[in-house]
Parts: sequence; structure tokens; C-alpha cells
Amino acid sequence: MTNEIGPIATSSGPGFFCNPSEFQMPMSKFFNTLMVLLATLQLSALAATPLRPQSDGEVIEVLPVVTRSRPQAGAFVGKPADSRDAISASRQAISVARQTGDNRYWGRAQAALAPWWDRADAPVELAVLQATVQQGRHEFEASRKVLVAALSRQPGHAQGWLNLAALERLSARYNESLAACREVARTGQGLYAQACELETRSMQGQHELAIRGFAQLLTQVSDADQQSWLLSLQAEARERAGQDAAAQAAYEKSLARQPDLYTSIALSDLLLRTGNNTKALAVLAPLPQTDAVVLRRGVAWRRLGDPRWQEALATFKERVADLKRRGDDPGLHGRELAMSALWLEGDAAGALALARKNLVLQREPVDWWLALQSAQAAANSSAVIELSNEWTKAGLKDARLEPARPGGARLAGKVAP
Amino acid sequence: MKRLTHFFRALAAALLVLVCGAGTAYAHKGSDAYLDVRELPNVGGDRELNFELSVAVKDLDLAVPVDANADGQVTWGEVKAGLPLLLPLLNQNAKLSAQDAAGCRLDWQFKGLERRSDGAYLQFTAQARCPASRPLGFKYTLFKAEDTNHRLLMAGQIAGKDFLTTTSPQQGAAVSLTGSEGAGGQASGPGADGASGKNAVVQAQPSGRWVAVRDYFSLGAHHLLEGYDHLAFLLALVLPLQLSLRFNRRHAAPAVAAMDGQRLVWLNLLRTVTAFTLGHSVTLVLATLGWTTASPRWVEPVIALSIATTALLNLWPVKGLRTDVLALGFGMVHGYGFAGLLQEAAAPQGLLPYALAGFNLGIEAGQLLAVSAWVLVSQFVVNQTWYHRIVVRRGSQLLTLLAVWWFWQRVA
Repeated sequence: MTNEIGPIATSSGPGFFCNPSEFQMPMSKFFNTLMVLLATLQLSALAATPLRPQSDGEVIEVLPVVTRSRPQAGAFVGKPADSRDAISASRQAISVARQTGDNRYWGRAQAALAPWWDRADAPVELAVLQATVQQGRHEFEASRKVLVAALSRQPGHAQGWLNLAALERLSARYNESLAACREVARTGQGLYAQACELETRSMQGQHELAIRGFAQLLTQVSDADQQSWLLSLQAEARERAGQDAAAQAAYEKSLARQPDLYTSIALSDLLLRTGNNTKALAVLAPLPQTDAVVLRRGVAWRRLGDPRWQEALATFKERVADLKRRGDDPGLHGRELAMSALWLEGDAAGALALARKNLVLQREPVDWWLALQSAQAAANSSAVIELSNEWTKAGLKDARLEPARPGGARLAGKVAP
Repeated sequence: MKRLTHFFRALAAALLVLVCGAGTAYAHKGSDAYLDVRELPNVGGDRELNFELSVAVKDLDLAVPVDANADGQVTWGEVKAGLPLLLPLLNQNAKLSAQDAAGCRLDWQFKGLERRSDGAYLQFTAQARCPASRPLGFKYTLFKAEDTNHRLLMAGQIAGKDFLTTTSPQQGAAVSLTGSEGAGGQASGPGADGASGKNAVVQAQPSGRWVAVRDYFSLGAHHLLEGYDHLAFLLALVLPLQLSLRFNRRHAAPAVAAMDGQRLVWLNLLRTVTAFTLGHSVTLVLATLGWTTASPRWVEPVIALSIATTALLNLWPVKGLRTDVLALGFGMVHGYGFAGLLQEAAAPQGLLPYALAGFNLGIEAGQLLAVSAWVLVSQFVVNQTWYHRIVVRRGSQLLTLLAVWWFWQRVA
């Protein structure tokens, strides 16, 4: 029941034997270009490599989930699809998509919902699942419209309100988010309603209230999943409160209860922000190599002087090109695009433009922070002032952003490329 | 000096990037399948198209129980056992829009496995021979019900032009495979404009067979003349033969011996070239008909080695090792090289014997042309006293170096 608005994608393969930290890159443009070129060449060469199994028993693929039911050819023809099957199939696909970050599972979830997709008369349960898929694909506006319409038909749908509250929160519409949280409370889902409200209040600056609130909720649950979820919410609240060490501990506790991709990435962001690059790499290494993970490893490698950052950048760029070729909108991953421009490509002005565009799509604290980092790296003081006015107006209070206020010190934890 | 150290450090780091990337599997994108389409040079008025399709095992399992024992692990044995279900699935969901004409349909065959960024893929191939007079489309409906976001990324060459597009199973219309100025009608339909009409006249010419012989003859000749490695091998073979076209009659007495010597040399040339021809013809036929196979992984380096060996034998002859025997043996290896090309050009099954004959004749013609050219060129130097020292020895040394470089390139 958690509302992860996580980045995307699966299966990692650590480079076991290579520890090239002894190589110090001569930081000349020529060699940087050469390395990116080489990495790109190598990646395109690796796009498909032949696979020659030696025996019948050799495992050539591991499925993240065993396929239990397959649509029989022609089975749906002339027969209405069963909504219960669709619900369970799409829920399973959504859960695999979140665990693995493999985007194909969002497509499968959508396929399961196909007979009801975008239908005004779809059962609310199915409409909410559609909105969840859209949210997972960062199609936030579309998701919100579907939710609002579905909830007007059935106002007692807790999951729907919870999704809506998350969407409003990530768009920095905190009052709307709180209203949705209250609707969750009305359905009798007390735990989720309280967590929902605490999370939004912490964005508004009531950090201590939120941290204590989460601690109190933690005493009420015994389920590892729920504990892990509440701990990650508390960790985020502590980060906003400026308590980095306590936040790190809470993230780690959350991951110990139940590992998950979204929380791991959040922890790695904290570690990168506080300059703990080696530890960030350790957190990122076992994760599925999603775009978000590849990019953050690249950032850590670059700061540690490890030439593999070039490879990470090349991979990331190749993926963006792939998305375009598929016909997908890379702008839906504007946060990563801006990070890449700022920390790997050394293009602060470009990063600022990307980060500002991303703020139209999503306005989580990290998105503001990224825009600010870019504005400062680009020495664009008017952008700094504009951004600061914007988040103040939205009602966001976050310790990470405070030093950037006009007259304040330069942001801490920042490593210029 | 310091700059040099920096250069080598950077180079080492760059190479490390190359090495360390291997084996890292990434996954990020939605579900994609890949189709490569290649149109062959027009043979007999019909269009010949080769298709290669790669589909993820993860996706195929969604439509057909590839993971037959449902343990979440797909083994090589399970893949093979699943083919009787997989091939009909493809035949039904990856097909040509106008499947009515004989041969103008896709009958998918399993080719092998490959690893891409998001896991294992199965590769399938199919060939089609379609009338050029009609528009041709490719209809893809795989996973239409299973994955709304599935895409087919298409690339290749159609009507001599690069082709790159993306389609979705949700898309109703077929993707046009008719080249823009190509051999068929446009969207407007066949015969609707002058171009298609003209085309119809051109293709009305007789018989695919002789056209196949002709087309593949030129392919063979071109391949030999453009295939620098075959040329280099031939050169290494003929370099020590002092082929003089001049018959000096003025000094009658010694000329008899000279004539005999010359005859021997020419005979030697004939034997060597014939042996090479024989050798490569045998393996070319065997490999093309599918009776034997050879991996380019060893064929290509061995071709390079054959050049080096022959050139080295020019420098240090080994007693009892005859050039023609050498040519026969190495010719067999070169034959596998030719076969690889012929297979890439994928002659249609019905025309295979003709294509093979044409291709082989083309190689012989190219070979003859190349040797003749050498004989003519060498006339300027062949009677010089330094011919052996400069042309044979220096030439063989150069060829050896070149061949070693090629060998290294092909192995690395």
C-alpha cells in the first residue's frame, strides 16, 4: 500500500575484477571525449551478444515472477473480460515493476487493464489501478485526472485518495494533499491517513511533529513491510529537518526491515549529498541498474576519480536515445536528465534549464534542490532568487534549501564538477 | 616525457573502461523486440527480403509457457521444447501484409540466442520472395494483448536505402516495406503510376535462373576483387613465379631451356590456381548446401594465417611442400569465407544451385582477372636481376606483416 513514486528498471551485474581507482584521469577534454567515445562504441558493440548454452539444463533467463496465467488465444473474443483477473494481474505486474524497475511490467499492467483503460464507466478499482500505472510511468497529470474522476464516483476509495494525496504532494500542492489525506481518514484507514498527513506536514516545515508522529505509528505496526515504509518516511522527514545522520540511520533501518529500490535510491542521494561517495556506491551496487541507479553510480565514480563514470554516462545517454526511439518522452525523467547535465556533463546552464522543466512535472524537495544546485553552479543568482521565491510560495520548508536563500551561505554538501 | 606518461595512463584507463564494461547487464526500457530487414539485389523481378527478429524470453513466456515447469528459470532445454509453440506464434503475429503469393510469406525459423541489455533474447529468421508489383507491408501483433507498451524497433535496408522505424502491436496498419522509389506501388496501389508500370515491364524479362546466375556471378567477381585478403593470398602464391611473356628467339640455343623453364612456370601457375579453385569450390558448395559449417571465428583468422604462411614459405621454402597442395588446403578455408558471404546474401532456396554456380564462376573470373593483371604488371620487373631480391622477398615480407596484422585484428 505504499505510494512509491520511484524511478524505474532490473538485474545488476557487478564488475567484479575491476578496481581501477589507481588510475588517475588526466582531466583533459580530449581524453574525456575519447573515453565517452570508447564507452559508447563498446556499448553499441554489446547491444546484443551471442549466447551459446552448453547444455539443456543451462539457465538462460531468470523471470522476476513466474507466469501463472496466460491469455488463451481468442479467449477474450466475444467474452467479457473478468475484472477480478484483471485486478490481480495488474497488481502483480505493478508490484514487479516497482521491485525490478523493469518498465515492461508497467506495460503488462496496462494490458491487463486494457478493456477498462480510459473508460469513464470503468469500475473505480480498475480506474485507480490505471492511475497507479500512469503514476509509475511519471504521467502525473493523466494519473490525477483519472483519480479525480474515479473518486467523484466513489468517494470512499482509500487507495484512490492515498494516490491522489501523493500526487498533490509531489506537485507541492500541500493543502490539496492534506484534504486528500483527510478523505483517507474518513474511509477508516487510520494508519495510512495519519502517515499521509504527517508526510505532508513535514514538507510544510512541521518536522518535529512528523518525526515524533512516525515514531508513534511505528509502535503500532508489527508488519515488516509497514515498519520499513514508516521508517523511510521518517528518514525523509529527518532529512528535511536537517538531521542527516539520523536520517541515514532511519533509511538503513528501513532497508534492513525490507529492502526496496525507492528507499535505496533516497539513501544514496543523501550519501552523495553529504559527500559519502564510497558508501553511496555500496548502496547502489546491488540494485537493479535502472537509469536512476546508473546515473548516481556515475556521479559517485566521477567524484572518486574512477574512470567508470564515463561508461555510466554513455550508458545513460544510450538509454535516453533508446527511449526516444521507442517513442517515449525522456522528459518524464527530467530529474535524471538534469543530474546528468550538472554532475556528469558539466553543463550547469543546461542542467538549470532541464531542472526548471522538471519542476513543471514534479516538485519534490529533491527537484527544487537540484534546480538550485544547477542555478548556483551556473552562477545564475537571479534564478536562485526566483526558485527561492517559488518554493517559499508553495509552502515548502526544507533545511537542505535554507542556505540558498538570498544572503545565505552556499549549499552544503555540494561537489562542483 | 610527462605528457607521454599521461597519454599512456589515459589510454590504459580508456582500455579499462572497455574491458570492465563487459559482462555488466543493464535494463531500463520497456519491452522491445528488434527486427532487421534486408532486401537483396533484385533477382528475377521479384523482391527478396531477409528478416531477423529478436524477442525477449521474458516476453515470449507471457504468450507461451517457455518456462514449462514454472520454476521461474528458463533453461536451454525448455527453449528448444517450446519452439513448436513459439514458431506458430510468430508466424501468426509477425507476418507480411500480402501473404497470398507463393513464397511471399514469413515462415520463421529459430536461429539462436543472444543477450541484450535486459536479458536473453531468441533470434528467428525468415525469408520472403514477393512480387515487386505489389505494395508490401509488415504486420506485427505480438503481445498485443499482453503488453500495451511493447514496441518493435525495425532497422535494415530496403530498396537500397537505410530503413529505421518503430512500430507497436497496437497500431492497426502494417509498416510499409515498399521502398520510396521501389519496385512496387506506393500507398496508391500497384500500377497506379508510371513508375510501377515501367517496373512491371522490366521484371517481365524471363526466368529467375539465369538472372540468378548473372547476379551472383557479379557478386562473386566483386567479392574476390574487393576481398583484399583473397587477393593477398593469390599474390603470395604467384609472387615467386617469374611469369615472363617475352619469348626471346634471338639466342636460339639457351632459349630452348628457357622456354622449357617458362613452360614449367606457367604450368605451375595453372596447377596452383586450379588447386585453389578446387579447394574453395568444395567447401563453398558444402557450406552453402548446409552439409558442413565453419565458424567465421576461426575461418577469418586462418585466412589471414594462410597469407602469412604462404608468404613466409616464399622467404624460407620448405622442401617437399608444394605450392599447389598448399593452395588446395588453404583454398578450402577460403571457401568457407566465400560461403559466409553467399549465406549473408541469402539466395532463395529454389535458385540456390544457380546462385552457387554463378557465384563460383564469378570468383573464378575475378581470380583470372586478378592473376592476369599481376602478370601484366609484373612484366616491367620480372626480367630484372633484382626481381627475386626485391619483389619476391620484400613483397613476401610486406605480405607477412600485413597478414599478421589482419590475424591480430580478427582474433582480438
